[in-house]
Amino acid sequence: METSRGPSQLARFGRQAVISAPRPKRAEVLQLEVEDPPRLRGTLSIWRNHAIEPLLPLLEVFLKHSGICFEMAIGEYDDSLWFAPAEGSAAELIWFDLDRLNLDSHVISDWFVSRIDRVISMSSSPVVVVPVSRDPGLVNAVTGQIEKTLGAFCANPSTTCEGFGTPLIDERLSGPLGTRVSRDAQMQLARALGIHWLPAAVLPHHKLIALDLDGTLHQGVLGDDGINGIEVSPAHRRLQDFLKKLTRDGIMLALVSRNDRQLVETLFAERQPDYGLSLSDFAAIEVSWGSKADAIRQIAAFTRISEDSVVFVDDNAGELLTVALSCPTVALIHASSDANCTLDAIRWQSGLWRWTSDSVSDIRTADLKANIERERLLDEANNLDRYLEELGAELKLNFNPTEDIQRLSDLSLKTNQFNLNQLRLSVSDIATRMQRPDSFVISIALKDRISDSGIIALVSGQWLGKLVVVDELIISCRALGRGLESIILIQALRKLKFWESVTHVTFRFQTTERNLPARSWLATLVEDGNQQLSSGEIVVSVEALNRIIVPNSVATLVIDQDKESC
Amino acid sequence: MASLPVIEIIARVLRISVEQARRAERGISQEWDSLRHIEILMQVEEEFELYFDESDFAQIISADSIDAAIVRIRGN
Repeated sequence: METSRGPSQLARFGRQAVISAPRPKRAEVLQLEVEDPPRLRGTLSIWRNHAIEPLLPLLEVFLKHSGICFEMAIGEYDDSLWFAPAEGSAAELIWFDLDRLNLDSHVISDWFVSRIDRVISMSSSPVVVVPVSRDPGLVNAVTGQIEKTLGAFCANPSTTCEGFGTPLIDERLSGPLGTRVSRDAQMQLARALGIHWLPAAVLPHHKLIALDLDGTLHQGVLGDDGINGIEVSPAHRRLQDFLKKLTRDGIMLALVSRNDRQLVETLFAERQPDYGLSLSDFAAIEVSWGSKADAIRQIAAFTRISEDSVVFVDDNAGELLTVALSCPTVALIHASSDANCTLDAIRWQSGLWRWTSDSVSDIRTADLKANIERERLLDEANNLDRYLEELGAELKLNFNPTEDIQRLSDLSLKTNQFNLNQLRLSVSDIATRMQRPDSFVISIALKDRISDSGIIALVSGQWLGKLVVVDELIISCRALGRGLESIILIQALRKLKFWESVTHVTFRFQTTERNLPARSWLATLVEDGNQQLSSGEIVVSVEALNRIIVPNSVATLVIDQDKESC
Repeated sequence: MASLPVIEIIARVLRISVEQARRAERGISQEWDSLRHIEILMQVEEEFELYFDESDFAQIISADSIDAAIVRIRGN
């Protein structure tokens, strides 16, 4: 039941202006009461050598706004960063003033990076590093080195503060406060931590922004004012350029408008170049007189993402509330008549910011467009074999591919629907599995005649003599719907060097709100395909797996099987 | 007599009534600990768009002394 979501959403819209202001006021932020039910509860372990306490009340507000309720476990002041992993932390935060180190400046960076390396090796949780110094060059050097170090997320507070014209350091505060982070920097860093840095490390990302048109992307009403009557103000242009940039970072856009489709198409064709966005920037377009909630559901289905990966932006609070009631997991942003405010609200919407731009964004949009062609093929083909033959699918298997670790970790962290065991493997988790002699990590890339989807699946497991334990199986939603799930699995397993000696495969899985597609598929492997699977594991015989038919039309290419550990 | 905005900030940060805030003193009022002391001063700085001197952090102990510091800084 989501009967309370209306008032909760109204409260959220009320907070939006305070949270996303260019310079939020301390008193206003601290007065915000955030009662939204959290999406994540846990412990944040904080390792520090200067005070973080002045930020904590602010950080808690921003985290709650992002749906995170953290208990803070704060370590003692420690310049040596002698890290001891805490059991069950949702994340580790390194809050460190580099200028406190009594080391030559040229060795500080190497020393600090070596300490972070140690933290990464000892912790199984995401590690977020916030290095502070009066020397932006030192922070840049440290950030650059840690970005290259697998597994840690390193923020650059100097750049963050510079972007808002805020000094990072205020020496006055060192004595009374125990930190030199200035008053305004405390606000900017608390907001960045609470809405960008920590959520991006511990929560699934939003993948798509569904945008209303009139009053959101331009001023005026297209149907009333006409194509030349609507106004694209400089702020609206900035908003559109910002949205276009987000598409390059891996966020999809969709257009949701109550309008005449022909008129909308003419608008985008005729108002170039002052209209920054073009129709081709949208992965999905729903222009009709129907309900926006239905439109958003259709967009989510078409783009193969769940509704909780969608952010909906509209200037009409009534439309937003209607969507809130029908699609309770969609995140909502109230667009302002001042498009600068809309831009800021999107900028400070948790779940849209990410540590690395998504390298597969172009592939994803191309894949979505290719799906229309695939669906036509499926309609025309009499059966799955014929469809796969038409599709000309080619799987490329790569065993323990160290060069793909980041992509595989992204896949594990971001995929929700076909994610069997939800292990949320970090870069270091995957690296460790690749190094263990009895373990394997297989990446699977897919291309067909219509598009090249890149790496779309991960199989991770362990060999125990006659038994293989698959403890993670993930297939990107972009690859679903082609009837390839079982084929991907069996082709990957059959290429294991020791496969001939295996008699059974154990699949470990968890039951989550969102991984029904994976569990439904798993149920088809067991003899009673209709049985409800609860969390745990099931054992499937190789004999049963061998019943999976791989059509000759599906080509399988193996790369670097020599790297296979087992 | 301290100004109302200063008293309101003290009341809000210490979570006490305006009347109590008027009389509150650092070192005497239990709620006025070192962390809240800094919070009060930072909110006053933000509200009045000024910066206290480093020595003010130690010398300010009440609404009246905050007001006096504000007058001094603005006078400068």
